[in-house]
Amino acid sequence: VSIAPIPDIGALEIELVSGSTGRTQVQAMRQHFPQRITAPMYLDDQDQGMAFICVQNPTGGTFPGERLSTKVVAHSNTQLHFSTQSATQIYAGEAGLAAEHDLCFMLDENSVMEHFAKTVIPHKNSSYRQETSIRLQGDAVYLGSETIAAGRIGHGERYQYQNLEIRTFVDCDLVPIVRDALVLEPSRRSPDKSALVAGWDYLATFMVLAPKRDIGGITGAFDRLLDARQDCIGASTVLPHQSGVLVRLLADRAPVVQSVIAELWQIARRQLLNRDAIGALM
Amino acid sequence: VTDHITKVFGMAEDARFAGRNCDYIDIGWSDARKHHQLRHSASGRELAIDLSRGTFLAAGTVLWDDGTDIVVVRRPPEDAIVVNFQENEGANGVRRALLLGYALGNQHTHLEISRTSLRTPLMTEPGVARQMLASLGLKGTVTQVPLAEHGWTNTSADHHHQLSSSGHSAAAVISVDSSSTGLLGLLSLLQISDSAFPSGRIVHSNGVEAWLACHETARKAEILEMMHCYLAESYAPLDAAAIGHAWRLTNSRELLALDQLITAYKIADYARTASESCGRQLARLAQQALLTKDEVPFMAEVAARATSGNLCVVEGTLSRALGIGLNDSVLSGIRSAFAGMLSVAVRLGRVGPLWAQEMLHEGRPRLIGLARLAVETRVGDLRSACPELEIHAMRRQANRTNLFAS
Repeated sequence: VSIAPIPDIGALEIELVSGSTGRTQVQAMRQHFPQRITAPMYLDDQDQGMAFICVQNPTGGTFPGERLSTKVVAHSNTQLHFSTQSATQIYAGEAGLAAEHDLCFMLDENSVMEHFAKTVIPHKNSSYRQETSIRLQGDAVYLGSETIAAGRIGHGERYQYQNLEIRTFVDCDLVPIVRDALVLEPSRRSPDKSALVAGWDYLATFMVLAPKRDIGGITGAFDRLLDARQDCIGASTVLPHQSGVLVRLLADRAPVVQSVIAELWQIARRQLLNRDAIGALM
Repeated sequence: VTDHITKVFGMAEDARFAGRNCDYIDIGWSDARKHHQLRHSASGRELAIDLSRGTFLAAGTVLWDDGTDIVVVRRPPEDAIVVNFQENEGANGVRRALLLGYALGNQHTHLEISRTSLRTPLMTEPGVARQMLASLGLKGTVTQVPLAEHGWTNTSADHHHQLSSSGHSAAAVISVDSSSTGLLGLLSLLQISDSAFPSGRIVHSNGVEAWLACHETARKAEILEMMHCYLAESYAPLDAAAIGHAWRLTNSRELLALDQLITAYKIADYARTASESCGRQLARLAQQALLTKDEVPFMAEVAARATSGNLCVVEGTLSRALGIGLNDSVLSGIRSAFAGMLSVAVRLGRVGPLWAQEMLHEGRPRLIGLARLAVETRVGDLRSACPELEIHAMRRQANRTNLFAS
């Protein structure tokens, strides 16, 4: 009996190269429903070479038992701004199976990737596992954020999902430098408890990875910004091996999270890429 | 179309399935206990498996029957160490097999023992496994075979895997009790856990000082809840689990890799500072006062700053060298973490010393439960996250006006 290959469920793979004009171009691409992208756009006036790619998922999220996979291979000297069209709903189903999403970003020497996924909203009784593997080589730079909502807050749902597991693995030149593993299981321990999410509705993480660059001024600038905010709490820390900076943020409103991330993005962009963030994108 | 499987239909060899067309579904040994999973059979049929907790998917289990076709669990060949008893006869063979059993027991690996051979999953690089067999003088192979087709052989160190109902009931029950600590080990445990032991832990609060400063009105119940949360969501699934993994490793190269991995999990600067400074101090003390020279090469690497020297990795390594059992090492680590947090709250005047002792006493069953979970936590399942506590600790760290170093 021959073994049938497991179907490609929601696989999106993009391979990027730097063209002769310096523009980042899609060299190869494979996409399966529900993840779709259109041709890259070039929206940064201060660097016309950066490709802007937005993943469009007509289902608006992931369903129980669904396994999405997203892979980006960014070859040397490419620049990518990678985003999602809307928030990711984590739908619940009777089977009680988890929705899964594996993301893999491979950044070659001197490549830049910005990854701003919109908020993950886990529905009542849903279960979600996400694993993001970021593999940097040499002077590559990664800026990204992740936001998790307590649930469908407008429907009165807060922490009624089954479990949420978000893991981020970062390797630089094949050495493990960051492992961030967040596991929330409201049925086992309410995230509302002290020390976990403590009553806030949104938990966000902003990560700057630039192992071969000077990150000296970033933490101070991040902390000044976060200290000045009265509508959220957050702080930054230098990551292992001085490989970057991580910000954790707790807030009660989505617009607050968005505005803080936009400001963090602006600081990181100025420091590492010597250019401004693009306000309209946040 | 997805077929939802909520019950097992029986075994393929049952007479009622005679004449059915067999479609196979490959389920490896590590997934045989997962009661929720989405799988595809060889013919492409999608099965959403949703069985009751504790169900073991043995080879031959029928998951689907429509009267014509059945879908049967098949165990694919997987990396394993196989030792055939016939090839290792005599007194030397027995001695070497016992040493292998001891080594595997220390690793808490699964064992499948039949009348003719031992099979165990490959948990290291193939070269390392071959080297281990060669160093023991055992004839064995590192190969691919189906594992746990009918369950694992039960050992006292692994009560969760039952003997199968067929074929292996006469297998020997191996007693690999790594929880036992001898009297010398017990004295060593008391010594290194004593508050007078100068490992430097006393100067670190692991974020508790910052959290208390930001919760000036928090009363005992909330303070205790914060501590329980830290233990369950951060310390036990990372540090305590790493104590266990370090305890099981005897190879310096693997210990260095584990230490590197733990550093990657210590995302916040304050957490790395506390872990590494205490780990290095403990390694130095151990080299000077507790171990003979070069007894544990990893300690020298830590003392020489050739590796981060996270406290949990040093603790696990030292505990093993001092004859402290695995379970006791892990439990002691969790108890020390809890006692340390209570001590911080006492020294900052937020709770009384008597209450702290009461909580330490009342918390014993909780600590034992966490230790059990930590011992079973696999490297791939390590985790540590208490976002609110971390945020306060990171903010406090930036202010630099603290009583404690972290």
